[in-house]
Amino acid sequence: MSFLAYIYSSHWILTFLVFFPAVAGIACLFIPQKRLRIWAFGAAMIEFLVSLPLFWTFEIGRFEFQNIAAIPWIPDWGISYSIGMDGISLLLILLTTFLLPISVLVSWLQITEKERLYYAMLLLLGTGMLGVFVALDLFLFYIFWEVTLIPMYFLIGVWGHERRIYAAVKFFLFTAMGSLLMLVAILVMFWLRLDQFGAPSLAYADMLQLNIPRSLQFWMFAAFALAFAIKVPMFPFHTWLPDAHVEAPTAGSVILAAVLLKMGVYGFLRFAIPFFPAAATDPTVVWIIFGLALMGILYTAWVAAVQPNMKKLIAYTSVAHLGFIMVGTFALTSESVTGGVLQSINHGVSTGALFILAGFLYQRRHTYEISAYGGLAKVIPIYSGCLVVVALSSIALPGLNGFVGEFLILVGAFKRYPWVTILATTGVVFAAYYMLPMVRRAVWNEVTIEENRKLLDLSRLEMAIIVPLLIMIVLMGVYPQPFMKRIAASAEFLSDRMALVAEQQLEGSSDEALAASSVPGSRPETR
Amino acid sequence: MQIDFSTHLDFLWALMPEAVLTATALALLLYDGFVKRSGAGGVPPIAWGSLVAIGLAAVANVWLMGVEEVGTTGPVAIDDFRIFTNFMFLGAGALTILISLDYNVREGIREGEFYALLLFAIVGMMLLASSRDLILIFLSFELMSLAVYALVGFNRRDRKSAEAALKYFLLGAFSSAFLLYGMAMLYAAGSTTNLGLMRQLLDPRSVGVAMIMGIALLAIGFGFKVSAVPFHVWTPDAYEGAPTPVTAFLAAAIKGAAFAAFIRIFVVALGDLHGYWEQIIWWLACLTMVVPNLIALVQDNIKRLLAYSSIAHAGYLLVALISANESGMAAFLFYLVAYTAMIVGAFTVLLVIAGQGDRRQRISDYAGLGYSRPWAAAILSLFLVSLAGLPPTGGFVGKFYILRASVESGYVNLAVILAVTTLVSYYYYLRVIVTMYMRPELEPVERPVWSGPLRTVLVVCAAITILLGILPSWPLLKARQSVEGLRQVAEQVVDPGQLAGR
Repeated sequence: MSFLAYIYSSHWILTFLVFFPAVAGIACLFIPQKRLRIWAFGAAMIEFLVSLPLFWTFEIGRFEFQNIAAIPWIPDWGISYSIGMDGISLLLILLTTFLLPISVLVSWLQITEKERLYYAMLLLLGTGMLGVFVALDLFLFYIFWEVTLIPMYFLIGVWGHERRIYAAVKFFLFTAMGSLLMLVAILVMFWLRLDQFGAPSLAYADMLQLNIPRSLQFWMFAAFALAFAIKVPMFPFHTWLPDAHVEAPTAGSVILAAVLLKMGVYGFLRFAIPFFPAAATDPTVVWIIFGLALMGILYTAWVAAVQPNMKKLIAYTSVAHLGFIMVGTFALTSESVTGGVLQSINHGVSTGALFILAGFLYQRRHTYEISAYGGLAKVIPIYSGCLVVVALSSIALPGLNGFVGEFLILVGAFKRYPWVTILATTGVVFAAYYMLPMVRRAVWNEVTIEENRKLLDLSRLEMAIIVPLLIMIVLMGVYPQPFMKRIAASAEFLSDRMALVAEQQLEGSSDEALAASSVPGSRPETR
Repeated sequence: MQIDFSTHLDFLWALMPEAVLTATALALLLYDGFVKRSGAGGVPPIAWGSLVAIGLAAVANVWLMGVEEVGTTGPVAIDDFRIFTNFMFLGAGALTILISLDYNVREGIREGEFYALLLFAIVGMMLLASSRDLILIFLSFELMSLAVYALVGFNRRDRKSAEAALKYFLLGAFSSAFLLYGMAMLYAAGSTTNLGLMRQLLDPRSVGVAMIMGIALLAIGFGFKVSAVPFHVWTPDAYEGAPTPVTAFLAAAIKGAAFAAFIRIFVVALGDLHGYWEQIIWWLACLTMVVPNLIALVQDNIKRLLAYSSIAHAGYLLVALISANESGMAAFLFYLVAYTAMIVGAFTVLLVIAGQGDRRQRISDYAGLGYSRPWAAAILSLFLVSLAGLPPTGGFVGKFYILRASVESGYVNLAVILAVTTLVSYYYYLRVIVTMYMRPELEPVERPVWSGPLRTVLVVCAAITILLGILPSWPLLKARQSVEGLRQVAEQVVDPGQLAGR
């Protein structure tokens, strides 16, 4: 037992979680077709089961990183293999590993050709996502961030629907655009570190100590924020998302909505905000972010309301929900940040479930048009029940998971930004406005299309896929305490830190003078 | 052993690898003239002989590592930079020979001179990277170029090959004139042809018209040689028409050699005049990144696409050089190794897929390749991903290094341009991958022939590409150490105070 205890308190557990999927994915390329599905599922299940104890071995109340490692990798550049997790990453890691076996099972139903490459890509994606959540070195983080691109690009482009290539390329280029500018900003930080401390480093902890001149902070915050805002996606950068979602196979949509978008939120919380506190708490910046988030909530709610395509509708709800999370993130109170992270998990679970349910319908009728359905409650009651529960969770019905997160965000944000919160709250109303009619049109009306009368209800495999998600939806709704407890310390630490910075700014620009004095005249100029 | 160029024998010692290579190349040429030609194809013995010659030169190069040079003004440099580049050119040459073996048999190129010319080109390149004298630089340029002109047009039965050779030759000769004129101006201003002396004699405070003219003409000449925009127009045609192994050689090694001479002249000898040449190089770098990346978007011929991609890579290398600091030059060396591996690897796959008579060269010919030829497609994807600069490949670490160098010396704007043009380049690299994996097969590919040498090349290139991406610390260290000899020169170039004042 002590061996296991050792493993779970060291970085080995994280290292295993990060690289096991990649190894398993490469192995998938060589496994005979007959056993492929079982093996892929087995690998994903092992990943999940190994990660699960982390939930209990995680030390609650500690804001420092846990299970850390720092192994020199490119010593010449001060780059190391640094990993670790805190409350924010813990739940995102578990969300990822939880969804991996589910998406493999979903793919059993849907993917019938080029299966080897498919499962290899799916598992490789797992490596990228987990790597992003545990990386504590900017170089490492950037590598994992980019590594998620190629598998997702393949998932959309090879196994997607009609306009899959367009969607895949759009997805790739949008995301890459942000990340390349982030790379330049990372290099500027590398240079500043070298200049201020005399030794190269890209480790997360070292970067936090940097003294970045205020004017430069805005540029660098912009570069980081652009990368993350595209990923989230925030309002004007969201156009890739509906395309990618509609064209992706179900498992791709699930992973995209549940995890990839959260990488953007995570990036803000982990990097953009703590690195550039002056920029992130600057009133103008905060108002711009809030403005975009509110635009995202309100505008996409309207757009979602008129979507005839079920998957596109769900995609737009994602933009709205993520807008909510961004409000919580940038309100920067400990409740709102906790709520933001919790809501990220909730959104992952419920939107994942929505996409899976939409996928089940597609399996049966090969269309996502809402108008092609109707009266499903009478034909396939179990399915309809699931859809109703998940939709209600998505519009934050009390007692289901969505409510807890949104409530925390609203409570936390109201303290500091009452008007923003009030406007954002209308988003909750809008959520009902677009989600419920969809459910009504699909589930409740009369059966108008004869074909629908012959639909089969959920099979055992489909039940096995959706039930774990339903359990999580209810569990996190009625007993969110364990989840919140694990996030709280890290969220509080972040909000305290930022409050401190904000205070310092009010007191006068003493730190600014300090920053200016410690940076010699040779700082990089943007010419 | 110490070398101070006091006796003539010292020159021989200093030029040992080149001498070995030249001697064996001449011997092979003679042997090829007298040996009886067996009628039916097959790999000629001279091909294997040329590999042995490269091996011998590499041994001589290893020996050269123990040789010390007195002072920094000898006409032939014996420093780590030269040793590093020598190994690289020899390696690139060996890879080229390995991929030519089958290609030449397939395309009916029986003449053994092909390999001898290749060896002479390598000699020229090695000399180019090692010479510290303007005249020697010019001579080695000509030695290299003449051999390569012939190589580009080697496939006499092919009209395209002849066209490529003619274009390359005319523009090459044109650019040589520029170079020579620039060198004459430099000589007039600096009153010496020795680059080491020139650096000591030049006074940055009194720079005359002749000097400026010389710098400008040299920049134009080099622009042609490394195919920087707007002097790049010959490149796509030459690359497309040349026999594919020669194209790989052109793209990787020749460019590297020209850049090495560029470092010797601009960064080292004219290092103090950084303020005078950085403007023109800045614009060259900027244009060379932007223009080819845009043109490549609409290419249908994959060889042409890679030609434009290679022009763009020249732009990235220019960014490394304009930084003119230690990390810039180290980044250049590192990137060149990674780039050589990936571009030679990519052309190798192209060469095999093209089939008899180089027929399959359109991107649409690659449709469905991911499933009909999974290995070829996977390995080509690896090289393309690396060329695009995505992690975890050598291309990414190299690009990271270049960006680092440019940020370090204050060229954040070039770094941003590099990032944005990289984004543009993703599109066309992805297009090939899209075609291979996401479009249905049009006509079945005949089974490609993967001979031993081709497999070796692919494995070596793929291994280098991945290793440089995952475990780059040792090569990075080597690259940095190799430019340390040039450092004292470079240190003075970027003066922080001067930067802040700009």
